[in-house]
Amino acid sequence: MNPHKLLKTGEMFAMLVILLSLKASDTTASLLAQHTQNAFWYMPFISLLVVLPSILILVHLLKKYEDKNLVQLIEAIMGSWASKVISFMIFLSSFILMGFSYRSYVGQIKIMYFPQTPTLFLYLIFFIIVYFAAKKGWEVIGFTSKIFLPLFIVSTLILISLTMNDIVIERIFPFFGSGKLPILKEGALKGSIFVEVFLITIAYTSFKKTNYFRKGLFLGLAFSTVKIMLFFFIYATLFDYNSIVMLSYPFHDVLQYVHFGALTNIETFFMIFWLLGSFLRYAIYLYLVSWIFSEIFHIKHIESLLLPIGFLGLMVAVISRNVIVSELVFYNSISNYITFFYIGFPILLWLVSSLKGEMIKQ
Amino acid sequence: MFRFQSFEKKEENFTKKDTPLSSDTNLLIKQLKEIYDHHINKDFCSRTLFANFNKKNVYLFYYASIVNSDKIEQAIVQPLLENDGSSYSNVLTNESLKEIATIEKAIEHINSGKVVLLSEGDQIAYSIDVSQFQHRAISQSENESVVKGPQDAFTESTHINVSLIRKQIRDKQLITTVSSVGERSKQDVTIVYISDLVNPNILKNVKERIENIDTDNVRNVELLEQYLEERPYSIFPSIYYTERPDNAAAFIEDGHIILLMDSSSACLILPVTFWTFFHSPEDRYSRFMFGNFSRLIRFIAFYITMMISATYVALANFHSQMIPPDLLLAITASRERVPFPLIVEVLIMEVAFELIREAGIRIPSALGPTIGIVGALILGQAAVEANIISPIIVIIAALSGLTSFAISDVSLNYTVRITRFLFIFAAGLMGMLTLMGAFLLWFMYAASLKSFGMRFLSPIAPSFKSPKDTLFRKAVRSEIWRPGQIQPKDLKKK
Repeated sequence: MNPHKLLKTGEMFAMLVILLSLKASDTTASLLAQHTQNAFWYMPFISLLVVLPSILILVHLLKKYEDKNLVQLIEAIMGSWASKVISFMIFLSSFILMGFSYRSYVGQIKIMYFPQTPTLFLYLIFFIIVYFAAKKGWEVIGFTSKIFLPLFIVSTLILISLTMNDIVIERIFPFFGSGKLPILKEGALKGSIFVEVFLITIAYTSFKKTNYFRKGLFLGLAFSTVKIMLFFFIYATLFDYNSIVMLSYPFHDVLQYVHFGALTNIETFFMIFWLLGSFLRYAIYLYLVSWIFSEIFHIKHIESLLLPIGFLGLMVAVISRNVIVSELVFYNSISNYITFFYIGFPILLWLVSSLKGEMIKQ
Repeated sequence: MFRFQSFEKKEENFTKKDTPLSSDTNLLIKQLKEIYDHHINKDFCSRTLFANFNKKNVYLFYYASIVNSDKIEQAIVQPLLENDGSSYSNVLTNESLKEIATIEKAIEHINSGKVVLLSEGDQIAYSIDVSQFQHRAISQSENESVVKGPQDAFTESTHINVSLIRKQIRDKQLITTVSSVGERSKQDVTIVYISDLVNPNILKNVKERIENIDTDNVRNVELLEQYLEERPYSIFPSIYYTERPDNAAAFIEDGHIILLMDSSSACLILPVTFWTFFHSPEDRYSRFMFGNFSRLIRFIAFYITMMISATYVALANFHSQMIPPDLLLAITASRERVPFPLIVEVLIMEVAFELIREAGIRIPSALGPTIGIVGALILGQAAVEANIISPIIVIIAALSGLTSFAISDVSLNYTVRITRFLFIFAAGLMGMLTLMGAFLLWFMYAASLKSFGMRFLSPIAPSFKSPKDTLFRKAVRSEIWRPGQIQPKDLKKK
């Protein structure tokens, strides 16, 4: 227990939930529906089952090698050179994912609320807010997430209750969508939905007790999976899968769809919470990516890396001009590829670590 | 530059040096009289007496305006003239008799209302506390009034203020220590705490900071606050300022530290959190339901005063689809003849309200109601009729102005009012996008603040064992812990 560290289970839970559950609002649903049709709403569960063993192994290793974060753990197990390669792969993949989802979120803001504003201007505003938010440091991000999370949950509950009247449960059938095999394949490939769980282990040592981290991680993972599935379920039953394939941002379409009595356009109300959530999510993401980088190259001040890394991430976002190309082609294939890597590396670590253990015993 | 520095250094040496008292009493008297410009300084008194017990001349020095002359006669003059004894401590039985060995100490004692006594041929002087600074009687608390609860307020005397606190906490461990502050004019800062509750690190930090204040004079706690705080440019206060003794006592009992000074009718409480400023003592005096109800109202007021103008700007400018069509049409119709952009309209009204408010504070009290009528009613009405502003803006500005009075704390009130303008500008830039961005950054700034090592938004985040007295409070009887964020020595309340 470290008396100077203040983060506890609540903060960890909040940060992970914000990192993961906001995926319910971006193009993930649409990407999944492309291949699995109306089975997409429970795909996160299949993906979770695929990545869960690796997550458990990683957490087990972290527990075994006390007081080491992700990069330090890899270094302790794999030695200097191999660890640099793996850690850099983690950094690179997370960095590119950050760039892409950055684009996706700014794209959502532009299309839904500011269609006439130059995209670059929106990027800059988003970047400035996220940068200054991340600059406040890991603890402050944690505190803020913890205080804001109840607001997000309450707004989610309001949204769900507003959709209740228009849900047609029968739309989830046929239950297996495009067929059992494609579902399993796609679910396995989209294990990258949970890639943030691997990334956040960089913060393993920043909690008052490492136990708080583990508790927050598993609770957050369970909660986020349920939340994402609940949202996907609403999309599936509200719009049916054919529309989801066409809609890039089903979340915003739900917002446009619901009404509250005489107030017919209440999307701005929910947009407030969604915006706060996505700012926070990016602040967390940016901080984690910079943290991984700083650990790999032993740079002390994470805060000084936020600007260059954030700005380069912005560049990644700006490169591809077309939403369809960037989301359906690049993002889709990248997220498929990195799934293998993230499933694989904890197993590799575990094997090497246990082999090493064997050798020491002999 | 070099010469300037060396000059400064010399002067410092001169003031910091301790000069022992000379054995030549006549020289010493001359020195003291010169230091105090005796011939022109009319309230500086020097008297000569013949002490009965050692048959020597005795010289008294004091400021006539800040001592109790009856007490001098009774405690000093009469015993010296009449009593017998072996030493000064036998003859002068006053409890505050102290020995002084340097001129600097003698000066300090004279300045703080003590009589300094020189005895012919002695190298030691004596000081007796006979000070009587004039002050107001205890009056009702005007700025933090409550309906249910004690009505008395601090007054400009540390003695009385400490007595008001002691009246409420009959604890043997309630300590009042004194630190002095200021180079030229030494003022006493009284630090009040319960020694087996207070966190020693915070206490040490506070004492160090008081000692490190490098200035000639700190007259009162209002100025002391600005010398003590960590971030002078922050929009959030980090020290709580209150004029209510019951409030101070409540904080002392939780392990906080109180600072008092002689010329302030208020005290400083530290360390604090956001909730300290948000609460009113009456929340605790009212029953559970009533207290929490007023907290809820205050929270709504807090939200409205900060956000309503900005929200209106954002909605009407960028998200007009959110406003129901009928209302939108009404707004548009009323704005038809107004020449200004919406944000300018809002700013005009908000600034006007701040003007009325500022004028209301400075205006002689007899004219107070007039400014209210002229300012609020006539000006507002005329401005609407002249098409400078639209009627809905009057409602918005009145709401945001009125609700700001629900934030009773002076410091937080300023924070909220400044923030309101920041948010209006943010909302004018890109609507909800920038408004929420500004709100997030503002909030994170608050979360990153520390008051004497204590996080501003604790005990919510970071969480601690505490009475959970934040937005709402628990029933008084089910509060078990003291606020854990200040790490008091004794965490358990019962």
